[in-house]
Amino acid sequence: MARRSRKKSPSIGRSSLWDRGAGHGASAAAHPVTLLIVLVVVGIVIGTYLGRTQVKGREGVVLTPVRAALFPLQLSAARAQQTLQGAWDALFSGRRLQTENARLKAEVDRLRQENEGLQQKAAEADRLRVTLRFLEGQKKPPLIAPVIGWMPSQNFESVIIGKGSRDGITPRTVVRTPAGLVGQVAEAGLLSSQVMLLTDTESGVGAVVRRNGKPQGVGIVQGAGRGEQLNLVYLKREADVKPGDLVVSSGLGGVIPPDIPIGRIVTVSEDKPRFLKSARIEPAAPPAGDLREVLLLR
Amino acid sequence: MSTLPPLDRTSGGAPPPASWLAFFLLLLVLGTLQSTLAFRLTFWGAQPDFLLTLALVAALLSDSRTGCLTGFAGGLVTAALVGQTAGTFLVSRTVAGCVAGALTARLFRGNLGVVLLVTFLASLVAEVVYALAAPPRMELLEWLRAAGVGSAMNALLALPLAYLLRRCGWGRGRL
Repeated sequence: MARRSRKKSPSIGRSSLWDRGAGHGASAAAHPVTLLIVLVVVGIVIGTYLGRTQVKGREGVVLTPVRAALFPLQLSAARAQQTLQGAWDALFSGRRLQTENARLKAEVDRLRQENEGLQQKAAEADRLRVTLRFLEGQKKPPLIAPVIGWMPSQNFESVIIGKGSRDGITPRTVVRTPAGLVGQVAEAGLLSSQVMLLTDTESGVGAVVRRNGKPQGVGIVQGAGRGEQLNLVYLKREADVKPGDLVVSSGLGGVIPPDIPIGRIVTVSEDKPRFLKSARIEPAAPPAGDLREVLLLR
Repeated sequence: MSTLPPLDRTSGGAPPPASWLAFFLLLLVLGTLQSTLAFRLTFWGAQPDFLLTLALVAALLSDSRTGCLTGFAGGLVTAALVGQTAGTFLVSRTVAGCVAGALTARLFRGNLGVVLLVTFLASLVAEVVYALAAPPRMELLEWLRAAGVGSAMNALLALPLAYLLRRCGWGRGRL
């Protein structure tokens, strides 16, 4: 019996790891490996091509149709998320009203529905009012972009915005909110762009520490990952830096304009062997998950 | 072991063309969810990867050849979302899909536990291949924790996705 089963399935002992579909012979054994090698090579070629186009500030042709297909879904999902959030918040306040006004249930139901819509509109209006007030103070108005995706990979701290190269966005475009610096555009597609956040571990921004408008020290702000505060490193040991001091962009390097708020110092520590100081910074911009619109500096 | 039961060659294999349409539609939907929902499920520095899980489950319900293709497709959409290290995503997901398809040819016995195990292992393979090509800037233990927890999340997600893909014509007879 064992001999017969061996004859029926000669492939099990030798190369049974590779499925040959509907029981073909050894000639089909190479196919999965060949396909794997071909796809790996194609993947490397595509990756190299995309890396080169990214350096040149263009979107790779390969990803354009994929992003174009995802874009309307992402826009709809982002709007649906806001609606659900408003309804969730209103539901609890509506339940309190219903308990307190049982006799007027019909009126309370009507007021609850109206309240849901008004709360949602009010939150949006408040947010946009802050943005508008900020924009009116600018010499060259920045471009407003909706945030349509958040941290799609655990390996990167990034968001996706609903503006791209057709709107004049290019890689390294500075992204901020009225509260402070958010990051920079890493890749600009035709319809959407990926923004690398300050919290990404690959991020680095020249910064100045200010107290009462006077500079106290110069350093580099680096990201420390999701949910972490920012790190301010390479401060000179003699820099007079204290918790509560404001950290702003230095403008050195010519990419990020100066004096954009980055955050406030929380703690200061000394690196005595290297005669340096470092600090932890609480970011000025809202957490990435709370971003709904951002400003792109042109 | 020379006395392994014969492989069931009447099930699995490449799915019919209509099922591929369902796969690509799911790819778009899960890609949207990956960019709008996944970050809210972050735990211990890890978040689920819907696209990788879909590719691995499709590989589970077919074979290593199909797994290469589903992994490649999943990597392409991930690269479109993230915008960085596109080649690394493509290669790591292709390899993981192939491994998942190959493992299922050897291990699969209609046991749902195998779905969990293979998805977990193949997810780890994807993380290792990715880390080899694009080393993460974190401590090794921190990376191991994130990779392990992320793979576990993918394994849990694999069960409903496997059911969904079966309803779309993938792997009839495998589960």
